[in-house]
Formats: sequence, structure tokens, C-alpha cells
Amino acid sequence: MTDQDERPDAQAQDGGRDSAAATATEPKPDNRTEEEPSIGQRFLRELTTGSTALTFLSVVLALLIGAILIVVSDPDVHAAASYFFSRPGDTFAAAWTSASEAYAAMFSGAIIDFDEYTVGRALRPFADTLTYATPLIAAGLAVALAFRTGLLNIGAQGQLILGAILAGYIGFAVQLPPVIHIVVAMLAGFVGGAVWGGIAGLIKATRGAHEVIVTIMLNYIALFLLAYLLTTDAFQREGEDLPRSPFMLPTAELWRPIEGSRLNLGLLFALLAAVYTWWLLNRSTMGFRFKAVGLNPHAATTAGISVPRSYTMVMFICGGLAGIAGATQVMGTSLHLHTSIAEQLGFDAITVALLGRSSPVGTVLAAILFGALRAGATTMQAQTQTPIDIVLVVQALIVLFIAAPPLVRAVFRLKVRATTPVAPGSGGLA
Amino acid sequence: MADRITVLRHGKVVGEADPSAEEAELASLMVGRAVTLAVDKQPPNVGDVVLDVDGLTVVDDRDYVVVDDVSFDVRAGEVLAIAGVQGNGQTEVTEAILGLLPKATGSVKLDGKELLGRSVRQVLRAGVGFVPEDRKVDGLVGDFSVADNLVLDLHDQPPFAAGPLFKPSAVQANAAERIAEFDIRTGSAATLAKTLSGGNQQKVVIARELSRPLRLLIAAQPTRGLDVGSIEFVHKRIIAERDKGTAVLIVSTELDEVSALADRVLVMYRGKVVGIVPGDTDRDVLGLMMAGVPPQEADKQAEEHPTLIEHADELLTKQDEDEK
Repeated sequence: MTDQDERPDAQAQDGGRDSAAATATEPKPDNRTEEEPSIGQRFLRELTTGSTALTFLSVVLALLIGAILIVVSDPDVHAAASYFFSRPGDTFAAAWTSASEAYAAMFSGAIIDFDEYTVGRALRPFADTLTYATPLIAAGLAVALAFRTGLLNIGAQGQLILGAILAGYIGFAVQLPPVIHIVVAMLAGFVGGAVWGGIAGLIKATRGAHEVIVTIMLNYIALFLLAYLLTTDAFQREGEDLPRSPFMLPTAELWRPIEGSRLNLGLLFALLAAVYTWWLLNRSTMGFRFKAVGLNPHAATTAGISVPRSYTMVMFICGGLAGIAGATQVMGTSLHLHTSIAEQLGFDAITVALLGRSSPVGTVLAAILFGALRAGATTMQAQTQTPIDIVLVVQALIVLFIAAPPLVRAVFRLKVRATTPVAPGSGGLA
Repeated sequence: MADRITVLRHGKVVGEADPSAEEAELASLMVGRAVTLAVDKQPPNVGDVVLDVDGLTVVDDRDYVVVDDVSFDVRAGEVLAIAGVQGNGQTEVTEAILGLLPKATGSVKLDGKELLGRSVRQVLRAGVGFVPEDRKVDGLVGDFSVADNLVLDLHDQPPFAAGPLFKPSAVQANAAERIAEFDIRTGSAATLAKTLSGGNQQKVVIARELSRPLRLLIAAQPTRGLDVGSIEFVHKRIIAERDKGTAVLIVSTELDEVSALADRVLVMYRGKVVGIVPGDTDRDVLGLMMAGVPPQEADKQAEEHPTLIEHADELLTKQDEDEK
């Protein structure tokens, strides 16, 4: 767009000038500025500028393909397909039953179970969804905020583990009064993750090491640090050889409002983290700098914004957010430290941030969707024998479609809308 | 180059012209009224030395000396233009003053205070306005709104911030004011800066830099790639800033621009100062100096050969051979 705008301008300038010496040697301005963006930059841009509609359609498309996979892997459908040419209707009926029952089971496992008679029990599946979503929200924010500053934080996993270690230790080893215990442990979780993230940011800022490499390495260090600590006397449960810590002291346990559900106060902390991230990005000068650095580090530097300092600060904060995710895991869900406390949360967080378009609100919604898929998958497998792996495939497909918007547009025959309206009066003549 | 010229304006054909037409005629067709390519300006009201550059030397990443022992000063209320063929160290001079090149040595004093070694932020706070050469890369965050771009280097200062708090309402109010003042043609203050035309993008940068009290304005290639109307506007604003008593440092490869704006012209060649001459110096002389010919000799040669562009090229190649 801008390319076309400028061409007549450049001609006008050449026409209006007679200094052959100057114009002959001056490179065309457009050639200099129109650098081909690297794949990483294009990927980041695609992530942050894609439309909500495309995201929604990506999810729909992934679920549709998931349905096909469910149908294909169902033995009932196979049986019906064996006499497809005599009674084709049976095959389609079986296919419909298979897919609809699987998704119905998923829905009842994730949102509302209509077979239950009390409201509390009927809504318990949704509580499970929110339980799974809690750490994904906080860790997803850790990835999303880094994205917005132009960094790929692959290290949420390690930051989460460090958060869990510190929060967990405070939780089972230190005696504190009720409410204060939770606050202190939660802060410790933040600090643990923040230090881990800050290390990556500092190395990136001072030595230019790529944050992806550094955070991946820090993930391994965190994982084995946890494994080692769980063999020490300070962390290991007394009188046991298993690598697991004592349970949280009652004062450090996050309150569970629904009986029989593991949904806990951690959700509130995760949502507070989302509110904080929103505030940071939209109402703070630091967030303004983060965004400027993420979108154009050159212009940010020229405007007096320190890019290295922003990288360090943002990784510190991102690490802290992931640390909160770790703290909610250990203080609210598992109630003790063990080697797989982080599960795959730090990596799912990347997908969640992607799906949420790196915005705080989007990340919360995406985390809830992933929580629902996860909660529903268990019920689906139990009720319809559909393999739980289907859900992983659906998650992967969502990411794939989000990263390839032209594919989704082609499937739904969407027209590419011009996203860059040209301002009237391109010359802006006084 | 063209056989026929058709002029379009606001999507309509407004006239046709012969290739032999004067450029002023073409220009007025394009902007819809007569355009003065020369800037209407009064003689400068020169004050004290504001910027004092002494022995500035810059070595680039490949250990190549790109600015070699450059010394000059700029006084309050005057425009000093650095002329030269692109890539002779002019850009690096401006970047070194701003603090973008930590490897710069020598001395750069603003009102007697050393600027080298300070951060970009500190230099900007000291009262330096900077219009970078490449607005899309260094001047604007394309995916930020016009309003946000207008406060890019002021976002943490009152009234746009109170401590760590950012105040979007103040930013909006400021945007409305600047858009009107600088006649920035944009759909709204929330429009993304990258969607504006080159001229309007440049107006955003200039509006931002001129929206705070300045001691020194540095503008590198302030009108590169702009249409005639925008060039005129930018030139007027730069002279207006000069007349407020600001020291102005312009870098331009356009001799027309140099002649139109400069009170004094510093010509650079291969990282060195060839000479500093008055603003009304003949273009032939400037052209020769840009090819590395010292001022006195350039004067002499320009008198002997009135149009010397080809000759300058010859001189340049000869000098290259001499150095070998």
C-alpha cells in the first residue's frame, strides 16, 4: 500500500529537482525501507494481527476434522461400512452417532452434565474445566506478554517449575498465619518464576543470546533441579523414597469452594494476573514501551526507549506470571510437589497465547477452551471409548490453522479484507 | 523520460503536460496551486553556540572509520545543513549526537554540556529533537496509532503519564491538537501510522519532535520521498523552528533542499569535512565539494566551467586513482 503511495511522490520529487549530482547518486528510498521481514517477524505479526473471526473458524475447523477422526477410528462405523454398498445409510447413521455422542460426552464432561439433578453437581464439569484452565491462564499470559514485546518465551515451563518449587517450599515448610501464608507463598512463586525468566531476559539483553535457546535450556535446568530437590531431605516426604514433598500446610492450601471439585482460589489469582497484564499493556508507561519495542525496536530506540532494559523487565514479569501458575498448581490442585507438577502446562501455554492472539482477554478465553477440551476428553474416553488423544490432535490443528490463515480463508471462502485503508488525500497538501 | 505526462490529483485527471514543461508548472498542477520550491525566509537572527562538535570520530562495526575527526558548531537561530553524497558519514554524525552510536569518540556539547556517553533518552531530555532519516524504520511504530506515535518519546512525561500510569485520554487530546496543527491527513487519531502516506507519516514525526521545547533540532533527509506540497510544509516548519531561536542541523543529499534551508552548509566527503560555506554558495561549487574538492579550488573551477557535474565525476575518478 504505502509502496504505491510513495511512488508518485518520488517522481514528483525527481521532477521538481534539477540537481543531477544529488538525485543520480541517491538510492531510491523505497528500496531501503522495504526490507523483507524474516519468517519469525511474519509469524509474530500473523499472531498479533489476525482477526477474531479467523480464530473462531480455526477452532470450528479443528473440531470438524476431530469429528472425522473420531468417526474413522470408531469400530461401530467400521462395522457399518463393511456393508456400505447394500445399506449406505447405516454407515452415515453410525458416523453421526459416533461423532455426536463423543462431542456430547465431551460437552457433558466440560460444561454441564444434564444427567445430574442438582445445579451444583450439574455444573461440576465446568468447575473441572476452570481447574484445568487456572494454570493455563497465568502461564499463557507469560507467553502472551513476551510475544507483545517481540520475544518468544518458550520457558514458561521452567518458570512455572521454579514458581512451584518456591511456593511449595513456603507452603509445606514454613509456619505462617492463615491468609498471610497464602500471600507469601504466592509471592514466592512469582519471585521464583521471575528470577528464572529474568535470567533469560538479562542474557538476551546483555549478550544477545536468542531467548528461545536460553529459555529451552532453562526449562531442562528447572526440571532437573526439581528432580534433584525432591531427593533431598529438605523437600522429600519423611520416611519415603518417592520423589515427592510433604503436603501443603492447611494454612497454605488454596480454598476449594465446591465440594468434590478441585476448583480453587488459584483461579482468582490467575484472573488477577490477567487484569494486571491488561493494565500493564494498556494503562502503564512500561507496557507502552514493551509494545513499542515489540513492534519496532528501531523506532523505540530512536525515541529513547531502552530495548535491552525492556527485554529484561518483560521476561522478569513473564517469569513471575508463569511462577503464579506454578504456585496455583502446587497450592491449589496437587497440594504437594512432585516431578511432573508442571505437566505440559508451559508448552500448552504457548498454544493458549497463540489462540488468544496474545491479548489478556483472549488468553483467558483460550485457556478456558483448552481446559474444557482437557476436562471433556476424560469423560469422552470413559463414555464413548474415543481415544483421549483426539483432543491433542484438535489442539494441534487449532494452532496449525491459526498459523495458516489463508487455509482457513480458503475453506470458508472468506475474502481477504483490505486491512490497511488508505487515508484520503495521500499527499496531505497544506 | 516520459513521452506524455498526465497529472492525477484526488483520483481525478487534473491536467496534461508536455515533457518539456517546467517543473514548477508540473508541481502546481499536482498540488493545485502555484508552489514555491524556494522557502520564503528572513536572514537568520544568530545567537550563541548551542551545539559544539569537536573531533567527532565514529568507527563502524567493520572497524571502518565512517566519521573522521569532524568539528563544527551550530548557533541558536541558524540552520546548518550537512550536504554530501549519501553514505559519506552524515547519517552517522546525527546518530552519534543522539547517542545511538556508543563507539563515537570526540566531544559533542549542547549548551556546554557533554552529550557523548549519555543515553538517547537523556539526549532527548536535554532538548534535542530528532527526525530520523528513515521514518518507517526509525521514526514510527507502524502498528501503533497516530496518537501513540505522536507521544513515542514523551509517553512517560506529564501530561501523558503520572508515575507509572499511562494516560490515554491525554494522548488523545494531544493527537487532536497536533493533527489539526500539522494538517495530518488521517482517518482518525486511532488510525495505524503505517497506513498513512509518506508525507503524512513524516508530518507525524515532525509534529512529535516539535511538540516540546527544543534547543537543537536534527532532521536527516526531512523530505525524502515526499510530494511537493509536503516538502513545502516541512520546510516552512523547520524555518519557523529556527526563527524561534532553535539551532537546526539538517542532513540532506538534495542540493535544492540544502540551498533552500541552509544558512551555512557543511559538506562532507568520506567522513571528513570538506568545508563550511555560506548558504547561498553556488550549486556548482557545492557539487564539486561533494566530490571532495576543497572550497577554494571548487570556487575557481566552478568559475571556469559553469556546469560541472560531468567534470566532477571525472575529478572523482581521478582522485580515486590518485589514492590507489
